[in-house]
Amino acid sequence: MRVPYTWLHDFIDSGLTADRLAELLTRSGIEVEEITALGAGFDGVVTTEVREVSRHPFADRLFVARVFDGKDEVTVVAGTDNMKVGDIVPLAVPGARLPGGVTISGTRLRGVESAGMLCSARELNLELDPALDGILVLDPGTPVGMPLAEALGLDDPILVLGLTPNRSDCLGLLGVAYEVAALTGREVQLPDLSLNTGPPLHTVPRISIADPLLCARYSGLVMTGVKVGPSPLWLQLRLLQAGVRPISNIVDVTNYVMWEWGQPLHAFDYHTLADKTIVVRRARPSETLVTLDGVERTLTDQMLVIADSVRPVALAGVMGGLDTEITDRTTVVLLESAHFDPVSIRRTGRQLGLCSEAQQRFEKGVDVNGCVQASRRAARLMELIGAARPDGTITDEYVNPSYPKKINLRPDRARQIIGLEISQKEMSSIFRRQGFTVEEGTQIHVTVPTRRADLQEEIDLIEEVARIHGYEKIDATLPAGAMTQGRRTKRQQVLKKTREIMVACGFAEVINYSFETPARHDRLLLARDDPKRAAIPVANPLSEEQGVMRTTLIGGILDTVAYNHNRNQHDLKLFELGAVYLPKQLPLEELPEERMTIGIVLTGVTTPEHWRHKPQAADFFDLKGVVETLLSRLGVSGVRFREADMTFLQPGQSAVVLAGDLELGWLGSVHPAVLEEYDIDKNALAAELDMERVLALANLNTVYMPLPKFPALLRDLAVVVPDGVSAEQVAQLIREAGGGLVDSVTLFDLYRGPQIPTGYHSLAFAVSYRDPARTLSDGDAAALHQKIEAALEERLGASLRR
Amino acid sequence: MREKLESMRELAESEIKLAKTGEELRQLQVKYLGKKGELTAILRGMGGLPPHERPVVGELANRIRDNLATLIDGKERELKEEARRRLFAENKVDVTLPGRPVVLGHLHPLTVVMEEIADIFLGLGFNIAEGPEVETDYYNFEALNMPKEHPAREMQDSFYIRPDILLRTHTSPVQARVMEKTAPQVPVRIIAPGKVYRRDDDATHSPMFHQVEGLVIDREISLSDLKGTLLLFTQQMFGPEQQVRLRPSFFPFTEPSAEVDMSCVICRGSGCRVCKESGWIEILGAGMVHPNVLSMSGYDPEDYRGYAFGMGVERIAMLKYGIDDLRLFFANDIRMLRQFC
Repeated sequence: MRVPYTWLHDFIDSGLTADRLAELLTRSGIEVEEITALGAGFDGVVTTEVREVSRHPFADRLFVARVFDGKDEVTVVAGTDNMKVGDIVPLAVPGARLPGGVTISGTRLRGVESAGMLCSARELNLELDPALDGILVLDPGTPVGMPLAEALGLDDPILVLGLTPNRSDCLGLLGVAYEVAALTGREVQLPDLSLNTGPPLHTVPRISIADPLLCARYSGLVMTGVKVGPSPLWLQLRLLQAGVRPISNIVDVTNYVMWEWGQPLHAFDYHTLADKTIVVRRARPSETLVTLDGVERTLTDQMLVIADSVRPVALAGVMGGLDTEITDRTTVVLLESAHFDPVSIRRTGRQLGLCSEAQQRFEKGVDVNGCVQASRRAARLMELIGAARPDGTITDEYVNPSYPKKINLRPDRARQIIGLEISQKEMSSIFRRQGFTVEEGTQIHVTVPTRRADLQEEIDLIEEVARIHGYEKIDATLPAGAMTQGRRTKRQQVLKKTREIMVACGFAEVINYSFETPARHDRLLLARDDPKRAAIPVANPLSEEQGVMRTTLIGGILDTVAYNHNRNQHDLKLFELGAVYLPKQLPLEELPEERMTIGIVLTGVTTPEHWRHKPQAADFFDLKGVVETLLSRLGVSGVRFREADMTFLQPGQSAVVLAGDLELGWLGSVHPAVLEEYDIDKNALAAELDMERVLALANLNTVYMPLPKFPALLRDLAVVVPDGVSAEQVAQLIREAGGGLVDSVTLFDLYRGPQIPTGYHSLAFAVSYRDPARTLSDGDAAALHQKIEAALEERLGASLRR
Repeated sequence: MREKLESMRELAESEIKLAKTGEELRQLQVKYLGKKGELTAILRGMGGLPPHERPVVGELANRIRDNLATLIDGKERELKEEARRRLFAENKVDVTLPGRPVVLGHLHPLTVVMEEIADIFLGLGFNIAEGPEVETDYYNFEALNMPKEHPAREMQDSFYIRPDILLRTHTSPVQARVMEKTAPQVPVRIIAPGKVYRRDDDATHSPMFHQVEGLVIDREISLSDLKGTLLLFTQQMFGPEQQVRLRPSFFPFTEPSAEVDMSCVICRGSGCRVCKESGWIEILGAGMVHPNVLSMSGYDPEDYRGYAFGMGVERIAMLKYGIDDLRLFFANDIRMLRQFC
């Protein structure tokens, strides 16, 4: 809402500068987003009075004017003679700068000296009524010899309000004036609203409301003696300040009054209304209406229309009809001032893709009891500018009345909620200053006028007190009451720890959107029936790229890898900790499962370039080590890995991660075909763990183990086993056969090559033996070692390598 | 005999001085002072001396033994030090060469900020609550005093899954969920960090972003408590000289409502482009929990009151680190991520 400073002061003398007023309004919750002005795109233009106009002696199409600039009379040559003696016109004096970089100089035109140039509205870049042709003739009474910008008030400050949706009352200057009254204690002055009218010359309109729920009130006033033409300049300029384009006097006045009262008005050419009848009703199915913009609209029975006795003539509150619009030939006007249901207006507007100023006001709520005042104001203005005069009185159908509401305020409660001692007297005054009726007892009884629809109950009055009294007066205190302990839950601790471990492992955290394109499922080469394809579609995504909720984090992280590769960042260790969204059924019947998940991706080399050693390309075991570290640090025990094929992982380098028999996730080398889909030309390893399962198994409690009292004995053990036998199987058997005396088993070599038959490989372990109760002798170790060797030979077909 | 001893001493001393290695020294020690060494050999001839000369020669022999032993020790130390000096010279490094890198990872800046916010409020006795991101219309709107067709719903264009299920547009539904679960117990002191979604995508809006909600319910809570809490938060987050300013505003689920400004972190209040010359920067929305919200969630508004606030994490991170483009948070450019720990 644009509030021109001078215009506002028609309603209240605030006694404040624009800056101070803006500060006060902003502090009270009517935010002034900026202070602007129409501004002049020109310089060196003054107002002058025409003293004489004559034809140019030597040129057919030119004229010569004598104008008085307050001191001197000067001669100028003009291209038109639309100005009369006594008119005030703008003169660009030599040296003046006009919009578009034009500089004016004194010059001779066909033998006549011209001391500057008389200007048109267009030359001054003023978007006035296009019907204003030729030299701009200013309103009578404009002072002579004044800079034009000042005479037109182009530097008048305009306060641009950013209103919260509850304050639709401030969509009219009058509403803003009441707010200023509350803040300053000054009084609001209403303009003369009397109606100068006699017995009607024309048929009195017949108005009926068929749907009182959608239209509470409809008032019509016939205006006669209509002379359609441009509005006076002052009115046009105020509309420009408001951001409304002047069109012609009748329409301009409806817009002008809308800006003052917040009440949209509409003017019909009265002669075009069949039977001089207005019916407010729902449209009939497939009825049509050509709206003002020339578009034929097909209506539905959800839309409210203004109809005459035969057809719709306007979309109620949204847009008028072309057939009944005001034209140059209009002589009688029906002025509509009505109240429509916000929801219905919003729906209709949205369905037709329309969003007029009037519509926006109806949507946000207009004061039903302001209708008639607005009509009267418009009638007075039309009369004042000689555009029309009222004929008869206002026909007012008010079928669904609203009344001012009486609300009780308990001063003590207000003080408790605000946390500030405010006197009852001050509270009452806050309401009285805005023109509310106040009765005082132990409570304050406030009668709130309907223009303040946001005030409905006690809490609204409490806010009103706090906001007008001033939030800045409120102290800063801390809540009293029982102590509480602030603590992360186990879940929150584990997730925090997870991030810390990943950071310690060298990984950077990324955050991707929770929605993704279903095309990512194809890029991951997911099978047709892969459950990851069962993603929840967003009904109204911004684009297909954000069409479904993610079911895996890997697609997003691989995109992050591609993004960074394009910026020459190839060595990446990334993780994301966030939810995946798994529907229990599709289409959704209940809220989906949001499973906290960690996705990990590793590409390029594991350590940065350094002069002392060559960087090494990351491989399966780098990632596996990270997964093992993460799970072990989170206290998940019994973690194991089982070879398993996944469409997006390279066969032979992919595994599921288990804790006991519970599947926690997967890891592996990303399939080269997937990397191709993503345009990644480096190796990449990826893993994903279901953190909900990890959380269930995680244990952050540290259990201290006493240090060993007796030394360990270290023995190496190298075995040759068939390729089908896994390292884990061998290690497991070593532990088993050692019967509790094996302290640790560490694989330190894996060998295939000469000396080893094909189909076999050699594994070398460092085995540490320890008895918690005594010192083991060499003999003990040798015996254990032999026992283990025998078991390996017997159960895994292993042979010793010496 | 005395001459023999003296000439042996002279020879031994000059040989020790010329020794180049520890090995040579040990050989000299054996040669002169060993059990079968020259000194012993000479002393063996003592029997042939007159008795009165024996103690004199014996004393001389002992002095020579001690002198030579000291000389060898000294020489040995000298040689060892020389060897070390050589080693040090060989192993001298250019200390400006880069150290071997230790690779640590990085938390996302939004995580850093959310953790910091959480720590501040944990310290004030708040707990951390969570709620679903895919939310029902009831919790996202209705329970927050926004019935269907409420104009305030327009303020937040939502992503819908179906007409009554949507991506939450704010973290406020967690308020309703927590109250519903806790009522009528007090006090409630929680924050709820998390992702939220709105149908907006331009230079200053991201379709997904993060908020932290705060909620306190108790018997005696006032707007001044809200102001005090937020002042404390701002000072911990941005520095002890920070001030806050409450401006009246509107949210359907709080009343009285406020936009909260803090002193501009760029110009420290003197006015700059970032704060539009006002010296203040808006950082969050807040207010007293609306009586309708209290009663819908099981608290009688006559007996209980509360305050609530909600802040945008991205905005706080942008102010804290001087990041000027919201989209950087979700581009995950490693060159940006590496700047945070």
